[in-house]
Amino acid sequence: MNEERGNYRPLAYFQAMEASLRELLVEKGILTDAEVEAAVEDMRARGPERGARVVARAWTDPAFRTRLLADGTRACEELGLDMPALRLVVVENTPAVHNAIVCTLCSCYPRMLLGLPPDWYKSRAYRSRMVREPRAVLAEFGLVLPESVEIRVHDSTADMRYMVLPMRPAGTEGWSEERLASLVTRDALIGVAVPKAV
Amino acid sequence: MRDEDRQAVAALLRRGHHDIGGLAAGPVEKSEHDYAEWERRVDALMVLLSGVRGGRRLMTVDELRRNIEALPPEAYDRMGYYERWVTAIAQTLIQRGVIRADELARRMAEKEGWTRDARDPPQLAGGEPPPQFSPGDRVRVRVAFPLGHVRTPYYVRGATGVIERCCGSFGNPEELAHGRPGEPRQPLYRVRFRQKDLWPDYRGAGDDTLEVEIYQHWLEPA
Repeated sequence: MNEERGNYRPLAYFQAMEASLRELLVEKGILTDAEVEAAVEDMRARGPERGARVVARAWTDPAFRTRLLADGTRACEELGLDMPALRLVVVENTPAVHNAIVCTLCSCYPRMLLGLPPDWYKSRAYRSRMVREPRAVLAEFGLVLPESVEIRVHDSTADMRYMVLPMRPAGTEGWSEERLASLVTRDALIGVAVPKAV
Repeated sequence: MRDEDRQAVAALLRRGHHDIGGLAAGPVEKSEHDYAEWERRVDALMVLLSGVRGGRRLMTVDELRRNIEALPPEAYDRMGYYERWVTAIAQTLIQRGVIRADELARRMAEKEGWTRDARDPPQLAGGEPPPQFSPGDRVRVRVAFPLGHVRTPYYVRGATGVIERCCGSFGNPEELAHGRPGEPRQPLYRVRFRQKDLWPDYRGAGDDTLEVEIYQHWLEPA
């Protein structure tokens, strides 16, 4: 797992910190390389397609949608998704309300469901501006919504994590869950985009 | 302090540097990058150390957050996301006593390619070490940059001086700073340096000196 070991060269400061920290923890018997590697692979396996699957199910199964909105964590687990320590709140877009997610204080994100966040989500610009001028930020993502739609921003300040349940696009009647899921992007799950039937 | 300065300083304390919601900023650059393996391992360390996997509870997410928020503002702004994380994880584990700042600094020195100090025997494990130096001994201050609280000024690291006196043994401030007993206690010395050995551009007389208190674990025979 350690690509630095085979071909010795001085490591950059933060990489040296990571490698040193990990080695010390392994030497002290606190964790093992295998556990670290397993946790890396677990996280690599998490991605937005897991959220897309949840959304597609909610679009096709009203009872599941109700359960998802009531308890996001339990509903996802019902689909066999492993989400350790994640308290998920799913917020639903409607013709009257569009939801979007941010974390101004750090960069909280439903990583245990969707994997690691994109860089822009963690950027100063997104974190600063999304709470104050969400319409301008959404426009930068190409999403312009009428004034009649309430934009509801969710700042992830503490223990809950958020995912948007977008509206099912028109023209997708009769589509399979799999096909529906293919419309749901990561950005739609954050709320900076909406799914479109192309 | 002038009133406006005092107001500006108070503002820094009222609003954390990380607490940026609503502040002006430029356009959102829709940047993405594929995470490097070392970044993924930092993420994995946090998953494991916070008990999400494996049942350990060696740190909390809020300790991670607090230590990120405690970064110097300029460093916070310029560091990458997982650079902040790995630093904050290291700080937390040092604060908790899971690892010592000293051993992390030694290991990092080895990896960064300057191995001399990494080879030094650790003096912080086991019981109180006996005084290793006597007045008149030539000593070199270790070149190390541990995270956390240290009382060895940056400007003497790597410099060679002479033991002026042994002051007795004292609790290690690097441990005391985190509420631990400071053991093993360390012999403390006053070390005399020639000014021209500390400052290449020193303008005074060649015999001018400076004396500094330094704990034994920062010294090696010169």
